Amino acid sequence: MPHRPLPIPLAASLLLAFCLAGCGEERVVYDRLDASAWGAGCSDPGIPDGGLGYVTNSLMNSVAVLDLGAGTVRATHPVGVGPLAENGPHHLAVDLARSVLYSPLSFPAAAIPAGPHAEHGSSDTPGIFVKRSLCDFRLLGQVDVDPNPGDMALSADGRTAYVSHFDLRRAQSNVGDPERQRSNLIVIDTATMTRTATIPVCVAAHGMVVSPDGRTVFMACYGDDALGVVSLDGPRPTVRLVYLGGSPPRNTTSPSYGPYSLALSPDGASVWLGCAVANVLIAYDVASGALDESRLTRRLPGKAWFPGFSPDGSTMVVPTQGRDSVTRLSTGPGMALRDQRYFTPEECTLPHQVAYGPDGLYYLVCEGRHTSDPARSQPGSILALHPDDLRTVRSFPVGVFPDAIVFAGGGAR
Amino acid sequence: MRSAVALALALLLPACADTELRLPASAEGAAIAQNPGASRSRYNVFACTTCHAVRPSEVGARLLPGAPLEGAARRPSFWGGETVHLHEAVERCWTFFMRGTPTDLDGRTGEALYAWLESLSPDGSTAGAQPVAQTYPRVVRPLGDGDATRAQAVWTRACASCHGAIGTGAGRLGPLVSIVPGDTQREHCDEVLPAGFTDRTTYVRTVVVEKVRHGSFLGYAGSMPPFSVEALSDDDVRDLTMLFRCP
Repeated sequence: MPHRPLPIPLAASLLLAFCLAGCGEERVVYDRLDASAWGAGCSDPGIPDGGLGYVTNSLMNSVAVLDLGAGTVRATHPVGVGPLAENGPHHLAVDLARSVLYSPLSFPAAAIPAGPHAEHGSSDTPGIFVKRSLCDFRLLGQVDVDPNPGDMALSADGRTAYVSHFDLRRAQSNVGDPERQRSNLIVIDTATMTRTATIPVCVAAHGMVVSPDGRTVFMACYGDDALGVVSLDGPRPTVRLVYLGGSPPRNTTSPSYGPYSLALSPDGASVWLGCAVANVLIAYDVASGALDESRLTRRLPGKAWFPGFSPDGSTMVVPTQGRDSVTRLSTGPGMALRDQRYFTPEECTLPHQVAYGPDGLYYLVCEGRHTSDPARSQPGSILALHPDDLRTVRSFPVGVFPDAIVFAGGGAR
Repeated sequence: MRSAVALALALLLPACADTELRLPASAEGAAIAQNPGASRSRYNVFACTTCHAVRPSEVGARLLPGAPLEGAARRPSFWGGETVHLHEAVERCWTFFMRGTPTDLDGRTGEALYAWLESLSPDGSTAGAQPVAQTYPRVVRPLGDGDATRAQAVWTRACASCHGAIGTGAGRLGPLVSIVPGDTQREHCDEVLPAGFTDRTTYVRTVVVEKVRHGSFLGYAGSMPPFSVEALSDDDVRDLTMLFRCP
């Protein structure tokens, strides 16, 4: 059947109708913002000549910023990311070149009677490693780590962070299975805030440092009564445990020495282990790869926490709890006692860390009275101690349960 | 005739092109803020405006867990002081309640939301710019008996917009939203009582207090936002718990 064309007026009308039906289609286009979203950031942390100290308030989810020269608390910034919870910022590190601060958040076991569900226990809550601007403390990145992160260390170039895990729960819930008891060293690329390695090291590791050349991480292995030496050289990391008693402990949940804190001497030649059970410090000689028995302290007045060193490394100042004190010792063989200062509760409660500040004073972190119920806790303080006689030069009131201090500016290394 | 038709078509066809309506980014933000689908999570039932009134005058009789958004872009702190950055405050809602991913807020969606919040706080305006008191007690204990005759009224003002009708859930935001009090009682009345509890009804009412105060945090699960004591008083919560009872 032949195809007969439509009459022209009809075709035109149809075409017109078809066209007009599509006419007037309105497409909404939204303008883009001229300015960067979420407000302007800042890049200059405004560090004064005297330098700043950064202190974690572990039961207040915040970091206090101390103006060392002015002797004042300049600001207190929230650093938590978990709503309503104790986020537990304990240790921290500052990278001034990148103007950032890092801290692993250690969400505590729900030991407080927060409610029927918290009583079920959430001590397996993963920790979170956060990166914040040193300028305005805005969150720049975060990455999950294992539950109960403890200490952290930053490589000299700032590109790599290391996080230990004081995971007693893991140790206690895996008794009889040493492999599963071991806590992990987690390695993080700070640029991308991603985990690049997870290395099982030892039971309930806490204090840690990275060697200046970035090749070795040293860890205080609380449950193993050992120093963990993690070599990052080569294609795969290797772990060596140096036992304080010469051999593995019989009971990893009840150590005899309990190495908890750890510090590197200024020249990087010695690693010092502070023992929270045996109340002693002992040196590990990096060059020989062995403990140095000639540099074992006598029993200190209490649990030995994080020591600070004089710039030349010839003396160290050790805080102790049990009987709250600081003790200054020679770091050479024999470890001569130089001086000792005991504190009243009003002066300093629960001394935890000593660090040598950029202004030549020792800074002592006093935890203050803290309980799991924040309402019954009292703030801690930071004491600046004179290097000659350890007298208090000034005091900084900070938040509840300050745990660690680091410095920026003022010549801080 | 053919030429006339061709000419007419030639004139008409360009007019048939789509038109473009240009709107500020804040308008897109306003649309996102009202859209539960914006977070792209199949489990999400919330829009920003589910929990926040835009302006205080729009709160009406409702008891909302979130503060009004007018002035939020100028506030110095959020979440009862837990954060001082608006981006972090919004990100918490976006990820914890709306089940979105944080990176959403670094792109176009976040840009538009920020523009909208900014538009609610014009230059020179201080309305809503003060910090909003929000206290979330970490420790939850039984509140005791309340006034059962007030329970329905509290429910209507604070709970019904998400959970729907008491007993049936009619009108609730979605099928995953619990039907109260039945689901709560079924889940908790037969549990082994924790230390400190001897009575099941007291226990389940304390669970309700915990859920109201902690939402999906501190050991509980789900997506419910917490109510601060300023948003919902202990008296109101005490009355509300009278809806719950174990056999």
